[in-house]
Amino acid sequence: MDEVISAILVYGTLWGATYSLLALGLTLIYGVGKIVNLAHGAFIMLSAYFFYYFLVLGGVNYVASFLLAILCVIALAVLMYVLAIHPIRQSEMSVLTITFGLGLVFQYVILLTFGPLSKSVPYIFSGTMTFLGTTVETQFASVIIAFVISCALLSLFLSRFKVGKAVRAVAQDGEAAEAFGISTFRIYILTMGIAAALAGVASVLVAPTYALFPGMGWEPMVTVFAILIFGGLGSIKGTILASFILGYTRNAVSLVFSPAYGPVVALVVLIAVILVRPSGIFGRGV
Amino acid sequence: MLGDRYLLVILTIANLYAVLAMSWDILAGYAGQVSFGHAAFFGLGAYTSAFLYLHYIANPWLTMLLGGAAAVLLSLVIGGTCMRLRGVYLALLTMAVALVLGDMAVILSPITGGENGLPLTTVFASTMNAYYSSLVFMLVSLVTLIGISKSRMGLMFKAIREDEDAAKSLGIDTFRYKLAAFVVSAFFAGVAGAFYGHFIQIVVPSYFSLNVSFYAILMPVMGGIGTIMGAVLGAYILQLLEESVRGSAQYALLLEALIFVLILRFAPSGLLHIVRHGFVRFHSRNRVREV
Amino acid sequence: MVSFAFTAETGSGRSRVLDFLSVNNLGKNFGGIAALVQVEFGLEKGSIVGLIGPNGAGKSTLFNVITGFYKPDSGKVFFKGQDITGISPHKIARAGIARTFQLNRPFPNMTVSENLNTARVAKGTARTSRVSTEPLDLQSLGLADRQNTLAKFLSQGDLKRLEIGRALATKPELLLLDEPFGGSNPGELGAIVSLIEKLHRAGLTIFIIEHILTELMRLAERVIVMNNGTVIADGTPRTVVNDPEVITAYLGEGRFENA
Repeated sequence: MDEVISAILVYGTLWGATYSLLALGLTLIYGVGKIVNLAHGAFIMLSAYFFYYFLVLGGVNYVASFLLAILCVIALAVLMYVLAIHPIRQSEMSVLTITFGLGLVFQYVILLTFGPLSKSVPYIFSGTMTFLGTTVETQFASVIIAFVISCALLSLFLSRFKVGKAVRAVAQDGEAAEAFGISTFRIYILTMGIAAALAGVASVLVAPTYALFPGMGWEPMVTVFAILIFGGLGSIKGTILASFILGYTRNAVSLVFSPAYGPVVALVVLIAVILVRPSGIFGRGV
Repeated sequence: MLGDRYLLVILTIANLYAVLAMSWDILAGYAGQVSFGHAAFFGLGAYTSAFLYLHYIANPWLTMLLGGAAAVLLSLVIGGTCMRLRGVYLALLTMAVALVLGDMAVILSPITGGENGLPLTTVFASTMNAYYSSLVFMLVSLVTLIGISKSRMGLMFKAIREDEDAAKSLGIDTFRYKLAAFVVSAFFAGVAGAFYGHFIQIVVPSYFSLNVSFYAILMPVMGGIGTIMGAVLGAYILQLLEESVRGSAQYALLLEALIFVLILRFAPSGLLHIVRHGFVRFHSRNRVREV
Repeated sequence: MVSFAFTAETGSGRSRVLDFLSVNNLGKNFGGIAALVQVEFGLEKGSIVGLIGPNGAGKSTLFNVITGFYKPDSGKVFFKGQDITGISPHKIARAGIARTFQLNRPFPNMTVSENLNTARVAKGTARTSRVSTEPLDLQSLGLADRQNTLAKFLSQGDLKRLEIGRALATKPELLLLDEPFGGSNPGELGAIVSLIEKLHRAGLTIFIIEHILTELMRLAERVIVMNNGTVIADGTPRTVVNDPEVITAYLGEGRFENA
């Protein structure tokens, strides 16, 4: 029994960290621009595939592949935003639907380029580590470091730097921010980039432990939305809290019942939260 | 001969997809409730019909109707609980439901056959027979749904789509009508799914896939939302598209997704029309708060 | 159902029974902000009453509570003796209360005729197969020449009148108008005013929120003034205009709009 509890705690924490990285960017985008980006899952998928491309097909070293993959995904996110989202951003539903379509476009491009068979990516970090009696792959454990660093950087950025404060201003009131001379357009692009970067980092770090396939992004993304809504759209604290709660829950279910139920947990949470309290824990309101 | 049969298959599929498209249109194009998970109804209808046919009921037409009924039950659950939801939440929720059902189809393999699904024996005397049945089905659905769209109920749907609060202020019971839209939509989608299963003789978890939900939206978008006929047109255009890139199903998918995105980005009407109303409703909620 | 009957003295000393619509001790909070505080008054059947007050006084909130769009945190609303507190908006509409919205809410992609017909079909006085609008209605609304124009292309003034017309199409007994004069030029304003007068003569009870006070004071036989969520004055237009508390409320906010 102790082993199970330890496993739940350890893996749950790692999952929480992973989800946080995946979700933080999305909550930021929503908080800043009220944009619900259904292509986020595609970015999760794309960063993994870009990494695969550079590392496995391109023969580039780990660090460079990692950086290139993140850069590519950031560039794509910005491009997508400028061309497809910004012009129609007044209508939430339009953005939702077009990003849905774009998510599919990305999926199918990857399908055509790499085929339907799953790919695997070699480990950056090898070996295992043990915490509280539970053994985890070092690769997976690295996610917690990325999480801590990202949180620190993000918090620093938002509180100390001028641009970061501009981001917060736009999140509060876009029009007022414009009146103060802040270019909301640039802020939106910046936020999209940050979101893609955070998701990309998580995705690439975790990628070696998974099989890559073109449709892999949707399920994590729906989990992320469950987290977002659970924690309150636009609330960073809520998102992180919800990420960990979901991480622990999903792990508990996986370990106690069966791993197959993992994704279902997130979906059930999403449905339940939407029904009971759409504004979430720290939400700003429906 | 072989060529003719192939054409019949395509046309049959077009007819069935047309019903799926029409079912989405009456819900989204008329009542303004945008579903991103219509595959949930399609798949549930298919699995219910297949399961009943394999184990309990010999008459496929009856099982298809029961498939529709199962989808209706699901719609009552979704509609009954989600009525207060804003467009974005409803969209996510319907997507989540379809995904959950897809996962359950794999997990509950004793009932559903897991990844391999439920194989079905032929119920149609010939492909020609299947085609004519599908044509009748499509036409009956078309007439019924156009009838609804032009009826009092259809007008109430449109009022709800245009401005739900204003509709309420006129005495329209928006909850009841939205639920009705869900029920009607689910029924046709469910029967279409059931029919599809019997036609291609296998029901698999991908009936619940995002791809199917995507098609349910794509077809009306291409043909013209809020017209019912447009959905049928869209279904045929889709089959045409698929045929034109025959040889690579993957190219077809990409092409379809690109067309979808381009229409949304540049088309003056179409989905933009109703999604703008999603926005109006969202905005309106805030406006009612103004003192 | 218990009917709360208010009586009031008018200038001539006659008492009236103000129980057509009665609002008792209504309270409504929005996350800590008190939008309505112990609001209490009654309306006499067939009267035409104005509701004024500075921005943020709670006027539209009051309308939203009466028509069921908000549930009050405390208090009750009675209409013709029936308790309608917190009942859903469509039921209240069916009970005979119609309303317009402060920010116009037409059905944008329907024509003027279709907007009006939807109201009739919803009420049950028209069948969808017969989409025709009585010319007299369109005439008195000043929209006869625009009956086939989509609502989204109408001017603000037109939209106001369309909304009034649509509310009227449900044949209400009590009509709540939320800033019906806004956006109209003097000619259009005159048309709306005579329409309201005509409705008043026909016996309709009318409750009007307005900021354009000159016209309102001429129309209304009684004015209720709200400030900070509560009623601060209630009487004839002349009495109210000279009420020191009313003057302070407005001067404090700095707004006294005249058409």
